Amino acid sequence: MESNDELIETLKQEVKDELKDKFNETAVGYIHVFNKRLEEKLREQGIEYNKEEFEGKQID
Amino acid sequence: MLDTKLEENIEEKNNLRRTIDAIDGETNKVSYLANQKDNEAKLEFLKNFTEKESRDKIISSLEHKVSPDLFKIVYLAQRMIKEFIKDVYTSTPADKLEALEITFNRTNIIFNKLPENYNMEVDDKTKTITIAEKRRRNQNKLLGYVLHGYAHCFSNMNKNEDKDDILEEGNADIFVDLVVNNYIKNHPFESFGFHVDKNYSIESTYTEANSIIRSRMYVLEKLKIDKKMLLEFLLGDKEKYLKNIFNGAQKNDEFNLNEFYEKNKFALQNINRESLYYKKNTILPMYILQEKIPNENILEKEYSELELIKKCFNYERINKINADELDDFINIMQDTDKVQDNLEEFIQEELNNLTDMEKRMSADNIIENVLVICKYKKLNNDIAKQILEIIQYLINDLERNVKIERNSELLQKVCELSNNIEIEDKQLEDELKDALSYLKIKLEMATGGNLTPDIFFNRLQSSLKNGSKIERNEELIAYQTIKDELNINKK
Repeated sequence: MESNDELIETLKQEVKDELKDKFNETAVGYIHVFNKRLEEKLREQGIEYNKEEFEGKQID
Repeated sequence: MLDTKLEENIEEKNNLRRTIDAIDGETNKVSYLANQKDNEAKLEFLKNFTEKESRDKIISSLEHKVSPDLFKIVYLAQRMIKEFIKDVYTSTPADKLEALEITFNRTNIIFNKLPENYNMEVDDKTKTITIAEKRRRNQNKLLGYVLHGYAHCFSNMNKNEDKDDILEEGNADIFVDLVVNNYIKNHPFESFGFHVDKNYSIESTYTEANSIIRSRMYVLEKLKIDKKMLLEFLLGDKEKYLKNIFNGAQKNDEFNLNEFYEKNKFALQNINRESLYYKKNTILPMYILQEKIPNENILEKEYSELELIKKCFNYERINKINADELDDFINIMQDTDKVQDNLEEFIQEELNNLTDMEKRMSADNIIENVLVICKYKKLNNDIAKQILEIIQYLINDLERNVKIERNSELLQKVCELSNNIEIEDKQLEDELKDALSYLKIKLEMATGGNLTPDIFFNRLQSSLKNGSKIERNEELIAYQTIKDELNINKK
């Protein structure tokens, strides 16, 4: 059975593959579409998503 | 610990204030301040000086760090921004020029390792734009990151409490596009040492933000205040910007497609698809579609491509629809994500519902429309088989010298689009491409016989793959066919 960490890594790769046709990783704001999709996938698996705190920084 | 640090800072500032107060004359005060190390302390005392010369001296003494590999891009970005602002105003307001210089002189721009999937970050506290180390190579991208980062830094100077991501990101992306395109227009022959598209557009994932802000900016563009308002948002008075851009609506209200259209109907007629605000915008295409379907409100719920085509063409069948109009309509639908994608279903349904007689009678129009759809969609095997049959009807017509009404339009589409056709089954795809290539010859002959033996043999040669073998009997059949087709024996 996969540990949560392994599952998260698998899901991250799945998100990357899913987004491949829509956005380049170099596009401004890629992190946000990536995180949003990852959050959905984690929720489907019943895994709590630790929302990234950007602490007053603007991340693109 | 934090309190101690804060107390130390306050004490340092008080000391600085006492020292400056004790110095005689503005010039001496300014010189002393300009020699201080802390940028923020200098800026805090800036308000004590009203003389331009004094203020300029303090501002130019601000310090910042730029990674050496970014020098070229950063100073190009600064040149571009300055030129854009100069072009927006007849006389640039002094406060905006000052805000610009302060940002340029205090913002660090560096490469550094950032967490996975970050391309850049803007830290308002340390006044630093950090670009991910792994993005170091692509100069075109770097230009976009630096300009986008600067837009955030400008906006942070006059940020209000309820910072809004849609406004921040949408305006930052628009700023980059406007600045770069303005510069390219002014310097069409300047070589940057890397490629910049003539119609530059930053690659961004902020689709919603761009759509909303660009739609609002499109309306302001009609009043010729779009660029000035953008600069108000970034470098001036955010309230003034908000008042104009929301036009009475509440800032926190969700964008409503229908309400916005009703409120700005006048500005949203005949939308210019060449406008920069049409790019990266999924809202404006919806208004063009709405204009094409005036009898029904299509803005309140989601429709599919099939439904909208039917509504736009008054439920005409594919054998009657004008292919150029269909192409244009699909093109607009492709510009938005608010229409459900089901073109394949459309073409399948249309072909299934046509009688054999209709297929024979309007083979030319059907093929022209199918070629249009092939621009946007991969087709399934069943559709491909039906198309092969219809092509044969058309070839039969041409062989019987039946006049094809839109011969040249069809010929043009066959030439332009045949190679892009994609079918599930690759063998069927080859078969279809061969059939279209034969149809092309027939159409060319029908338009005035400008197909000469030389052209024919050149084409034949280029279409034969290396190493293909032709059997003797095939050669004889081909020879006879070519003679018949080109009427060589008549000459």
